[in-house]
Amino acid sequence: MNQFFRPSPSRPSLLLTWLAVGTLSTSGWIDARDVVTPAVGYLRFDCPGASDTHLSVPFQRPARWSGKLAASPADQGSGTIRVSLAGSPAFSNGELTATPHLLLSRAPAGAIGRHFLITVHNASTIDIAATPAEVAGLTIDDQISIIPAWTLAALFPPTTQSTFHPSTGPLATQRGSELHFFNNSSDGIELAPSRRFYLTTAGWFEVGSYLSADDEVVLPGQAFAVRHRTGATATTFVPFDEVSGTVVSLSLPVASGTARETMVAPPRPAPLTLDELDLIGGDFEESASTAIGDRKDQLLIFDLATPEINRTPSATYFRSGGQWLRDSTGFPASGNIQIEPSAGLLIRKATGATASVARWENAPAYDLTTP
Amino acid sequence: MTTLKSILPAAFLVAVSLPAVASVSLEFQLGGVEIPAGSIAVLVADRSSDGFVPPSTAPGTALSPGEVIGADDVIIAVFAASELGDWGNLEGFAAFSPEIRYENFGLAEGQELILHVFPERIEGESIRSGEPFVSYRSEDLGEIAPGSTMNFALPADGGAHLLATIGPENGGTADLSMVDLAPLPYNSGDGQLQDQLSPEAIHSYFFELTAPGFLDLAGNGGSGLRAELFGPNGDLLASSDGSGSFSFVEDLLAGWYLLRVSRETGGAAELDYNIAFSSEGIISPDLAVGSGFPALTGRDVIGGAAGQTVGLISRRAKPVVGYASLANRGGKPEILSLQGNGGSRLCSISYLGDAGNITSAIITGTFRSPEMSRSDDAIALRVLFSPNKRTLTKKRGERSIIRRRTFASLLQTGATTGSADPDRVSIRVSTR
Repeated sequence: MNQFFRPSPSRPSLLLTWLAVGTLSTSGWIDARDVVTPAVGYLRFDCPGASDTHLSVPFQRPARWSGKLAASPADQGSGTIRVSLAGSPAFSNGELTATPHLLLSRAPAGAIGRHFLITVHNASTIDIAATPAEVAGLTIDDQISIIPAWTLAALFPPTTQSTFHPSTGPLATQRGSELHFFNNSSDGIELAPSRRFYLTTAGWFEVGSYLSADDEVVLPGQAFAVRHRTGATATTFVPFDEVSGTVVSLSLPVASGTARETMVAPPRPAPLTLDELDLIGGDFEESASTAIGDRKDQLLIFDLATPEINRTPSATYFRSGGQWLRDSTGFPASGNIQIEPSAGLLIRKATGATASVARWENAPAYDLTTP
Repeated sequence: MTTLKSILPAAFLVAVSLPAVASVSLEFQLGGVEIPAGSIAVLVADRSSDGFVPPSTAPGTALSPGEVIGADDVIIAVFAASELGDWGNLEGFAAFSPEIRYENFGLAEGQELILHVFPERIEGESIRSGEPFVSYRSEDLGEIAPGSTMNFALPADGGAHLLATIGPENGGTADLSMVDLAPLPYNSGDGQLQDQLSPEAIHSYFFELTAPGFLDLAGNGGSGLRAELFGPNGDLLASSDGSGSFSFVEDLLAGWYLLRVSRETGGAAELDYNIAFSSEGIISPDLAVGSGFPALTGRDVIGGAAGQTVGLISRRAKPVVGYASLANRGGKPEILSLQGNGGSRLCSISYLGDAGNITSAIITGTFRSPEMSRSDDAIALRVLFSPNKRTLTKKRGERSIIRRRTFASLLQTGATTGSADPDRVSIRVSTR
């Protein structure tokens, strides 16, 4: 039986409700010894007009298959890793690529909580987009799950969704609302969203190419922005699905010669305090003091209460002396500052000696399995 | 020479601030416009806020982001023509630049932007000497499409922006009639260009000479029609005075040329124009009239354009002489015909040339000029009006008065072996 909880919503526009669903997760769950009823839930967010609203989807889709690796991952070169699956899952041709799927590592010693996009597969082997370093430690008999990825069309079905004001065509005079992906692939700070999408009744399209983007993947922990134009009415976004009860690991790249920002979102459908973010240790470099010259990694958050196009951070936090401090007069301790569910967080990694990637491994602050 | 620097009002020049650490992403849309397929658009920022230079004056500059046209016009983005079908029969640009780094370009918020459009170029190629182009920027916020988050100036750092100017054909409010670029088929030898100019329109025609050549170009339209011919260095080679017609005859060096047709301010109706060109020379018959040499009306006004007339007064029915000239303003030699009407019993009309009385040839339409071209002097004519005083006089008591009548000589000239629009003038004599 699941344990449910109901955190107090911090804003009237934010509601959190948990639903009990008494079914098994998927037919693909073939190696599970324990049968666990999944927790599902939904959140509702307001998306005001004339504003960029930062959001994410703190729910995962039901796993298509869960089981063990039949062998250690094999490097195929060109950023591709091949994994063999135990138990002969017998995937049909294109079953995992016709719509995007992710491999989730659940191995404590190997890439735990990381999601990899499946690029090619056959009946019992799959290729994922990964480097050998990214799957280091993953080995035979490690647990993995295969999860349908959230895509734009899955999250916001063009003919039924009500979050976005639809466009009637690609031109600016035909444009309704937009969805923006933040730029997590470049060095630097204060980077603009680098990919933009709009939808019509025919589907999702990407600005620039103006080609179909229905299958564009929204990764776990990926924040995005809903932009409603000036004069547009407010809408709501109601993500709904399973609650992740496992560790989720997100990349925090470090650049050489410059600071680098990554926009992420806590993959949890519940408010978290800064202390509960698990951003500690080597993943989030502490500052030696509050002096600006000693400043290392920083966490920037956004106040969504006020409509704003091209939203800028409302507060900056950093760690020093083993605690969270706000970058404001007196540097008040801020470990109990609450982060809204699904909110976008901008993590500014300090300049590194060499380019590298830190990992943010966030474990749930709730327990979905305790009776 | 008119440059973009002088066109842009100083009021829109913004002080430079320090370079910023940031990036913006920019979706840019402009259309529909009449430009050749395959054209590219280059978005340029004025880094020093001192106005933009014509790109034709900066040959060798690569058409790539980060390159500088002139001293400080920084290319921030290059867009290929959009393949969207939504533009219909027109062309347009719809593109996205995901990451524009101000610090890399030395740019700052508020600096002005302009769009240059180049035909037959691709990103990375260099500007050629005399490169044909058209430019666009709008200071009218009413022309910026709804949803845009910026105008033709760099926005604040760090945001996702849309700059769209869409014409009425696609639901917008922008007047893009100055973004109109087409090839002039010089290599075909001769031809005609016919179009209409809206009040703000600028039509640009480009052509290239791969070897030195000749251009004979004549145009006519309504009052206010203007034309400018720019040469391989971007220099202004010839321009018209807005009188409604023009004629350019030029020996040209090899290189790129741009003919820009526009109109003077005023008037809301479309202005039709017709331009004939020839690489060998055209025939351009031209008549002018007046009350005396050399001040004649209609010189260089061709194609029978209105207003080529003069009115004279005959007092007490005395003879009056009007003057006319006949010329070929084109570069192609031609024998011109000249025909006019005769007089009546109330007023005889005689046509007198240097060689004597040519009235019969004029009236019968058999008059032929020597072979003439632009470099030849015009043929001078005198038109003698001889009112019949006895017939026009009537008695009123003891007084004799002259009846008020108006007599006209209508003259028309045309080509005899080639093709050309005829020109027409009139001389009117009123008795008092």
